[in-house]
Amino acid sequence: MAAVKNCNLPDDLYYNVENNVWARREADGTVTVGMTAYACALAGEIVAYTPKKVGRAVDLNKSLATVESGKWVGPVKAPVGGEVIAVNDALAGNAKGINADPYGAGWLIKVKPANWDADSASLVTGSGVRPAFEAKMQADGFAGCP
Amino acid sequence: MTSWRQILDAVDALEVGQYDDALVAAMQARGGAREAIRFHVPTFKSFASSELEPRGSGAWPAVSVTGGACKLQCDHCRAKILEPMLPAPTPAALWRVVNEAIERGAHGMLLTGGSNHRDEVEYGAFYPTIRRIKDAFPAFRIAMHTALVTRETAGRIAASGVDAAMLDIIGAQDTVQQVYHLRRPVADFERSLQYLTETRLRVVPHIVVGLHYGRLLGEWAALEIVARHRPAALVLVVVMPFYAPAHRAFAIPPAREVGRVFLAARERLPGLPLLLGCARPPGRVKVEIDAYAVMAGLNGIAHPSDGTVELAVRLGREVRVSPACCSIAIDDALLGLAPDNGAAVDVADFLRRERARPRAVGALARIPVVAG
Repeated sequence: MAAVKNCNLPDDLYYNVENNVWARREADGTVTVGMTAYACALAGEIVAYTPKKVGRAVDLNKSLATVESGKWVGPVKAPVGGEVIAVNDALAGNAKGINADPYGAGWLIKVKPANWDADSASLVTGSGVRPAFEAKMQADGFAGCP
Repeated sequence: MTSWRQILDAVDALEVGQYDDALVAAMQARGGAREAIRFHVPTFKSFASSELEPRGSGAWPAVSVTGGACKLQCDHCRAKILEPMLPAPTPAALWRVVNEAIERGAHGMLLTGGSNHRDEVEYGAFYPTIRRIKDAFPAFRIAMHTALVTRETAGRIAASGVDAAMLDIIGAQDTVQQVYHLRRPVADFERSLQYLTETRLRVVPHIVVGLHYGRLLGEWAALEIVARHRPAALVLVVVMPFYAPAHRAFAIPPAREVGRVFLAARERLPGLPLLLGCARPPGRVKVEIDAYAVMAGLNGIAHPSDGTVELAVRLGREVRVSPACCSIAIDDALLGLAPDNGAAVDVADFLRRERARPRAVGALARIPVVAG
C-alpha cells in the first residue's frame, strides 16, 4: 500500500493518474473501476453517482459515470475501454460510500475489457504509483487527504 | 417527422433517465424549442462533463458578506449554501477579496450573504465599497442576491453600480412561513420585485421549484408575480433536499413535475429569457430535469448534465457556451453587450463526432443526428 500525503493508493491496482481513477483486473478477466482516495478528497462528500447503463460500451478515457459533490461535478473517465457489465447499485442512495471505501465497497463500475493488454500498458502500477501521484499532487498544489 | 421521444432515446447519455411521454409530446406540440440555447459553466462549483471542458476556476466566484452566517435558517438550506463561498464580512474584506479575485482572472462575482430575520441581506455598510469596485473595475460584473428590499434599498443597490439583482420569488404563504420561518406576506416578495424593476437594475428573479418540502405549491403564483413585472429574465432552480433536518425532510421533486413548471413558465412568459440555474438535485433526476429544460424551450442552462448539449443540437438549436453566471450573461447577450457573448459550439464538428461515435445496437441505433 502506497500512501502519498495521507492518501491511500494501493500499489497492486492500475491507475490513470491524470484522470485519478483505478482499475483492478479480477480473476475472471473483468475489470473493476473506481475513484482514488485522492480524487475523493478533492471532491469532498459525494452526493450523487450516475453510472452508464449495463450493456453499454465505454470508450477508453471517456465517461463511465457522473459524480457530484457539493463543490464538484464531473465525469469519471474509464481507464480501460470495454462493455459495462455491472454498476454499484449500493451507491444509488448512498453515494458517500465512494468516499468511505473508494477501493472496496465504493467501486463504481465493472467492465469487460475490450483490450486489457493494450489499455493497461499506459496505466501506472507497482513501484510507479508513489512517484506518479507525488508529482501530480505537487503539480495540483494538493495539501493532503484528511 | 421524428418524434422528440425518439430523439431523446437516441442520446446515449440521457438514457439513464425516465421520461414522461405525454409531457415530451406536449413540449414538442408547443411548436418546438428552436431558439438558441446557452450553456453556462460558472465557477461557483468545479464543473466538467463529457461535452463541455472544465473552465478555469475563479472566473465567477461567489462572495458572502456574512461569511457562513444566516439568521433565517430556512429548512431547505440552513445556510449551507454559504459555506463554500468566499467570506467578506467587512467592506475592507470585500475590497481585498475582489482585488485578489481579479488578480486571479475573475470577470465578475455573485455577491450575496445570509439574511436577517426579515429576509433582508444587510449590505448597508458595503454600498460605498461596491461603488468603489465598479468605479475601479467597470468591466467587473456584479450579480447581487438582494433578498427582500424596500424602495429605498433598491435605489441604493442601483446607485452602487450592481449589474444584476436577484431575489427568490415565493408564491405561497405557507412556504414563506413554514420553510423560510418568515412572518412577511407574499406581497412583500412582489413589492420587492416591483421596487427593483423600477430602477435601472437588470432584475433576474429566481423561482425555487419544489420549495415547499419538495412539493409544488406556490410556483404558479410566483410565475404570475413575475409576469406582472417583466424583469430581464427568470431563473428557475430546483430545491436541493440535502440540508434539511430530518424532522422537516424534503422530497426530491419528480422531474416530470419540474418539467411541467418549465412548460408553464415558457407558455406564461413568452419572450422572457428563462434560465435553469445552478441549483438542482444531482443524479438521475438532474439528467431528466435538464432534458425537459431543453425541450420546454428554456434559453439557458447552468452546469448542464451530460447529453444535454447533444439533445439541444439534435433538436436544431444553436448552442453557445459561456463561463458566466447565467443571470449576468443572458442579459448581456440580449442587450448586445459583448463582455461575454459565449463561445459558439461548432455544430458541424459536434455532429461529425456524434455520427462517428459507436452507438448501441438496437431499434434506436439508426436515428440520425440532425441539425436545423
